Amino acid sequence: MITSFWWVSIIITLLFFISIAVIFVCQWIVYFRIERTALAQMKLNEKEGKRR
Amino acid sequence: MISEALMIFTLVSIWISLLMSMTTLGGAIHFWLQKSQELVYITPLPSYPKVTIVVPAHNEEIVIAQTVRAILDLHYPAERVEVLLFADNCNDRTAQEMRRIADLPQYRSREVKIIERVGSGGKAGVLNDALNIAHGEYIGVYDADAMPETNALYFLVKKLNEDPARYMAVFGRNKTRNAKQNFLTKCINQEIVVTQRVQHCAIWHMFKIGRIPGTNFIINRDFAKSIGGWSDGALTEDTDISFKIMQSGKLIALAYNSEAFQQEPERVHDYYFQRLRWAKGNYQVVTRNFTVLFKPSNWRVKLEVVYYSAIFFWFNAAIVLSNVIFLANICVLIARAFEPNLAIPFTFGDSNSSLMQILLLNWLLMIVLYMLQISFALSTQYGQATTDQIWISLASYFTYSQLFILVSLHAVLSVFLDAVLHRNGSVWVKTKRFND
Repeated sequence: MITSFWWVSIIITLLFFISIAVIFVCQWIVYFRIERTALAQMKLNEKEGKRR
Repeated sequence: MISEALMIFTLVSIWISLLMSMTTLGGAIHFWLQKSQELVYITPLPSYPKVTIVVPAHNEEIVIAQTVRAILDLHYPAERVEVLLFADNCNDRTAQEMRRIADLPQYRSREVKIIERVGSGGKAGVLNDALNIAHGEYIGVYDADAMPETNALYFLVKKLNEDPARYMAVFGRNKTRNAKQNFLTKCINQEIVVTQRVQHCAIWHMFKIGRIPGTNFIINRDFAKSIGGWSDGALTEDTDISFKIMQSGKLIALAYNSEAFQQEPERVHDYYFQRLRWAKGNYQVVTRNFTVLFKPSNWRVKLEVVYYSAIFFWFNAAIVLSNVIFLANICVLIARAFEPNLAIPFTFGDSNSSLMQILLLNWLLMIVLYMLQISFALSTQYGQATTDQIWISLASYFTYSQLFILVSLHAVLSVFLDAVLHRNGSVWVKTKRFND
């Protein structure tokens, strides 16, 4: 049982690592997109404000 | 053998809980990869249903004026908004503060009614009273401390208009307006951002499941009446009605752009008893709905029951057990300084060393995942993902998040004793408000 559990632990740890790496990359993509969109939104709101 | 089995059970349980977290996080990532590039245009809506906004307020003289102003300043046709302000069992100046704002020249022509209520049922009782006197097609609810952003109602109705036949309720998010006050409010802010920007977005995106948050939401008035309204005296009337809506096959839609700003507890005492009420209320709702797992019923309700049951019972038990194992081993290791022959209670025998290293690595990765989840949630808000937040999340892992174990255990014990001793478990502890 312990040997099987050892192998399960190794696999889960590896999957953990890979998942965390993917999440980390996706977080940065979302972060940059949000910042870019927020700035574009501010410009849009300013333009709409002036138009009114 | 038994100690090994207990350790394996604990670890496998925690791994499964992490799998659930990662699934949710994956759904949120997919949602935000799409939404993070969308600009928001405030354009006229195809329809503006009449909305009755209800504000239940019990001794809220400090914060009610700001909330009433924010509601009356909502960007929504004034003639399509009815406002019902309930000063519920108040012994302060809540009603006077409501009148002071409603009497201002710019609001005198508005449809505002102030009701000084003396009755039972708490917030659910107020909402049920409102159901009977409201003229709006929809009931909107804002807590006394929850100031809606100018377009909050606009976004709720915009989402509703996408599918009014299926969307019986629409909810937005509630930002923490006193987030920077102290360490506790910073941690609460992080938790709320994760709940709203990760969990709510993920489960809506993946399963079309919504959870009414108690404030900043609208619900179809006739539908609410048909399902019997809110459960009087319920500790978590929002969770309770969410289950009722899903049971009927209808949906609770998420309008992620709709925002309100609410105060969170600034003292540990207030925080603890607020969370205790939520935990007790959620335990009550889950145990009441547990039998749906074994009967033909809506699959969304079954999924929510499985989720809540797993979190509240199974994973909590695993975390408590893991803490007991950890503390027992630490205590024996310290005691070994005085008595070297003491046996460490929880080990894996000869395979101990390599397994313990792997498990230690897993433990560190869990901390990283916790911080990453918070960091991701904050990155979905402009200007929120800062270095300070990373340090706060690290500190909160060892402090704030551990409080949940205490709250959870207390809630289970309290619900059990309420049942056995026939106590009235529906007692609310008022959260202290602050003039901000």
